[in-house]
Amino acid sequence: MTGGERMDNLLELKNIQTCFRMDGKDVRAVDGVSIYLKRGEIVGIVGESGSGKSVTMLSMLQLISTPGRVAGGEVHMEGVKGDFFKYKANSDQMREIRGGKISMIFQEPMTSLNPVLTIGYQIRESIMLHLKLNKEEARKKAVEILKMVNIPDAEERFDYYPQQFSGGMRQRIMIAMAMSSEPDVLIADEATTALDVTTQEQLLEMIRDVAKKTNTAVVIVTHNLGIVARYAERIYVMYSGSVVEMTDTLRTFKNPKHPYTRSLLRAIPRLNDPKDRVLIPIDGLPPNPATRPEYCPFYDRCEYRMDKCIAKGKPKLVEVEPDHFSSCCLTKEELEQKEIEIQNKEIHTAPIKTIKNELCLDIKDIKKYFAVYEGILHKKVGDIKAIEDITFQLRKGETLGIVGESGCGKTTLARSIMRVYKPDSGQVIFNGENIAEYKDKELKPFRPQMSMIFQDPFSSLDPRQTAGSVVGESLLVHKLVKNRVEYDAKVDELFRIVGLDPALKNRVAHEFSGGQRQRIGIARAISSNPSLIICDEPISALDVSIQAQIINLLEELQAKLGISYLFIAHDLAVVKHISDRILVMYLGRIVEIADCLDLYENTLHPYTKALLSAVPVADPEVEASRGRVQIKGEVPSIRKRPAGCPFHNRCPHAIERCKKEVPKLRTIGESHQVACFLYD
Amino acid sequence: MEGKENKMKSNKRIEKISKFIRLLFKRKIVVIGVIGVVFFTLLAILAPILSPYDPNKVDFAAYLTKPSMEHLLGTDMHGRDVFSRIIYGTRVSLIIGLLAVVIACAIGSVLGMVAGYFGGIIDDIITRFTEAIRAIPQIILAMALTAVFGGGIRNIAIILGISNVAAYIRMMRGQVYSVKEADYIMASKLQGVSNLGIMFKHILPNAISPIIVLMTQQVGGTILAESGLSFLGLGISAPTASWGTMVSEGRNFLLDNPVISLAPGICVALLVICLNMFGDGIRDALDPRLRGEL
Amino acid sequence: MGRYIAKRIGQMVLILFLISIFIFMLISFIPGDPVYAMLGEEVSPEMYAKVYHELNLDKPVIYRYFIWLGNALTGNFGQSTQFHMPTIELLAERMPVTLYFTFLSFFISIPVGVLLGVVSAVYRGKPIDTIVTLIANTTACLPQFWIGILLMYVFAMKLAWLPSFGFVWPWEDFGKSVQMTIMPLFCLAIGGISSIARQTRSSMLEVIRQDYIRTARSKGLKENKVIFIHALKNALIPVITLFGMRLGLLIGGSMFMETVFAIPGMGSLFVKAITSRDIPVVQACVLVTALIACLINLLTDILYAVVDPRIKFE
Repeated sequence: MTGGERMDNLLELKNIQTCFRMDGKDVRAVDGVSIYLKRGEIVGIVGESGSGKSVTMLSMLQLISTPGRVAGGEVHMEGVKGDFFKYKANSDQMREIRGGKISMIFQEPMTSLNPVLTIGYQIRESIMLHLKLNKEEARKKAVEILKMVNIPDAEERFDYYPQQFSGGMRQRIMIAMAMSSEPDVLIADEATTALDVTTQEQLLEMIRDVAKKTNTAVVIVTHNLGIVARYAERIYVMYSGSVVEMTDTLRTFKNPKHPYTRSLLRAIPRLNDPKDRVLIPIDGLPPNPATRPEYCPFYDRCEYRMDKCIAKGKPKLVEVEPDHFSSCCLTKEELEQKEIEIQNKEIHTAPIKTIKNELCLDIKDIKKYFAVYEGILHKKVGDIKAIEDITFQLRKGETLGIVGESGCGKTTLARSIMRVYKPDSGQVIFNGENIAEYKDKELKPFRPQMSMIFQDPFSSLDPRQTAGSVVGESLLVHKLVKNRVEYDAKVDELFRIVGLDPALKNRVAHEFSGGQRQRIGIARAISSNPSLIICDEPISALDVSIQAQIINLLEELQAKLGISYLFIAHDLAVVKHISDRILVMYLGRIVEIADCLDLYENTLHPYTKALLSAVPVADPEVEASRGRVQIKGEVPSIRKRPAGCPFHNRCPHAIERCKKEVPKLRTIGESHQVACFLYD
Repeated sequence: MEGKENKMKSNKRIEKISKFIRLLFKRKIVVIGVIGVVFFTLLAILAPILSPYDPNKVDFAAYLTKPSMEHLLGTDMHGRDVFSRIIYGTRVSLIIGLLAVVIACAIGSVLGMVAGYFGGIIDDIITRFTEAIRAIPQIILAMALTAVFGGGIRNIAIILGISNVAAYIRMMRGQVYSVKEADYIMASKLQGVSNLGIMFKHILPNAISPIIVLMTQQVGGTILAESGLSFLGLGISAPTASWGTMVSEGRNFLLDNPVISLAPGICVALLVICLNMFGDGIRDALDPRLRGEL
Repeated sequence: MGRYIAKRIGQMVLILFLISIFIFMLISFIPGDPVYAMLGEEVSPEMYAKVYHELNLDKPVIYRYFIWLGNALTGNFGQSTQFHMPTIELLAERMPVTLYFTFLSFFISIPVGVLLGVVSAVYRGKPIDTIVTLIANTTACLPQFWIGILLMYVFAMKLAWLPSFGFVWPWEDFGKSVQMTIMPLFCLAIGGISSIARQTRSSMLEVIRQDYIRTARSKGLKENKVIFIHALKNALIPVITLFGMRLGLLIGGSMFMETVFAIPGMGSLFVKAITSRDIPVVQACVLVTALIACLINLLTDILYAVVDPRIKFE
């Protein structure tokens, strides 16, 4: 196909192959991927780590550099003569395509803009290059676009530097920059992953609006199935460097044909799940491209596998229904047969736990401020009011979920309870004793009773310690074992409880995968027989298919050992799944506390409503029929918390009173508390 | 059971060491560096055996001769064999280089660790003090200290050690700060490990690799500094054979036997180059990224 | 920004204060009696007492320190025991020469070093990179004074192209000045060029890996623009830190240069002062050098703030 002709599709990628040279071997990150895009379409590409989704896009734009290289394939686009790969990466033709025809925005807003150039400069240079305008005209257009993406005071802020903007605003500037050169295609590569939920929604809405207005095609690359359910018209599912399934959004979720897609949908929690839904994780680890077998890469983890999967060799993408492609070699009948077998297997039931009436934690009015010092003499100039007026209870064996966006204070709260910080005032009554004022020495006997699981599996384990000694550290410190033999036995037992082979205990942290490291972290947390574990975003850094494994493990442990959890997360679907009660925080204050179902079905606080509305559900039908709550602005910085109700400047129901007074938590009904004047 | 575990542990250790050695020798340049360092070390240790003459033996008959079969590098203005003096000079350079770096590391690491871990006013004091030392150019500081305390191998080693301290304080402090905030430190604290325990069990092992790299890098610099001091007449004094002193001694006799001045300089350069390559190799071998740890 | 500068100035004053104490304390460690050192051992008891009193040796240490400090601040460093003239005059004579060499080599090594660093970073792995890196690494290992002697041997003695010592200001005799300056300048500059080149290279390599460079490329910008506008501006920031250090090393290196090539600068003065235990000159030189070094660091910090918008808008 020679270029310049009118094609059916705006953009076509054929059989892209990209290799990386590692340890002298060629590792195929992208193994024969073909994708097409029609004008004005919104397409989603979903996959986990190792799927090759981002690398495919970068390969298309020839942005891959050593040790990687594009090893094969073709790319054709309407309006471009010939195959992309015939041109050198640095040629005029490729550079015209980049930015001029295809624009890309990336994940990290904090590092994707050049910190020493003004944002105006960075937008303008793109316009001048691709639209061939002069400096004045380009500046005018740039300001126009900044206004379009809702940057206030665009004219003035043209000369600002990136660090003078928040994360959400920087992403909007990125979008402005990407769209300013009027491309035909916009690629959003995990563009909203690092943002707050409400900011994420605003940004995606804006991308959709702008794209529809200008008839620009959009490719959303993400691991979040909810996002593609809400925004994409067609979805590619990728696994281990290949496309395993492609069809329109509805059919992807309603009737997936590939075992991976099916298993994935079974493993993720959804916002509209019934409470007793059991997550069925995908066993095993994410694929390692270096050890990809000659047959289907999903075989080892596939519940539908049959002998013929190996015999058939490398799978090919086949049209199993009109406009529905799958690379699974099972026939329709075999698939359905396996499905029935799987459904009939051991019925997974949620582990049964008992919640006692005694309180594990009774938090009363705690407050924590951080002083801000400036100048040579370290003078105090103000306070960051991290958390205030925090009051709640946690019963024994219960899970209390804590949700909130950035700056809400959930981490400060967790650390105050764990007494990493000393609260400025209030009581922390743990198993009957108020430990808020205790000194380090007095806290020592309480240390074994509470522990913490951390978010980042990489920084939460000492890179120089063996897994065994990490897990066993508290056994030694608190003298929980009498001799070496007991120590070894206990460490082995802990490994088994969390599903790790005790033989691995002499390995060092970097020899484990992310999910395994979290298991080690969990083993460490339960090693001292705690009655309380604070889970600080324990799964957000893990692959989606692994998250379910850890969630299930935590639930099992709670049922078996009767531990109480404080579960901090920003993923509302996960929180709903695992919590009995949920506490919503905003800028350092509690806005709502309720039983799990009550919160979702009978939401009271305007912020909670906006939050829930912003979370996309991995079900396109539900998405299509949902009402949406509009919320303006971004989460303000904790340093600039508004007076009165912290939410009033974004709230659609704000009244005069909200600007001056802070609403107190009131109890509505049995156990639903909310801090809003609407319910006074 | 016990025996099997011990075997696993020692296997682990052997594995670690062999991996380290493999990474160390990955680049040809590093291999050359290692060979060079070993060569010079042997030279220093076996000096009495390897040098054909007594380095301090004066022989006025053989005054300022050019290189010949008898005297490979000729003789100097006192009739001493240059080649032997060069071999013995290796000792001076290596001893001072190593000693100074060990002193600097010991003092600097402790101060840096204390400053980083406790922060606050202790950190402020130590940092101000470090900045004051850094404000004076190293060589000038060394010269001033030499002026007061005099030269000689022991003094120069201590003086150069002190003038190098700042780099270790800053390095260790920086390491401690960055490690301090890691989640696993908090996890250990929450488990009740004491401050001292955390410093030794967690912070030190993680901070040690950059310190080792710094040490290997600094040996070369120290040797250069010592040769400079000796050249100026402030370091090692005659008649001890130090490469720097030799360059200075030979200055007035360049036309008679240029080798007196030129050869020692080449030796300094070679030794420092080899040490730097060795240091680069160690740095790469300890780099967690290259070891696949990140 | 103003606050930032004020803070830095405050720190500088504090550091200079600490240094002055250190220098003063140091002198008290010198073995031997200062009166004998000045006048010799053969001195009458009355003379001894007179000089003892003159030198304020009968007063407490702190008093002596402040007197010394006060004198120093007004430029009175006493008499040089070597040359028997006021130290400050000696410095006034010698310092310009040293500063001339120092700044000249500084301003030569910066553009050359940066350019070499950028080139070797951009063409990483290619022959030009290997050559530049090799030369830079090797020259950093050569003793400066030895390079000077080598040059002198080759160019002055064997080839007789250049004079082997002496100094003349360019406005006195331009041609001769150039001839006399070229070798010492080269020795001084080579160290700077190699270290700036290495730092620029590693800084550029670090910057090129950053996300915003990927963004710049994804906009289709010309590679030149990406390197010289987007990357270099960021990469130079850590290199600026080097400038301050460089100057310190240059001042140190000038001592070797001046000794080898017999140039009448502050460096050779300092060396002679040490060997002849000329205390006032030693103190003065160290203090002045520290002052210059601190000023340069201050200027570097200010330059930092001007160039890096992150500091302005912290």
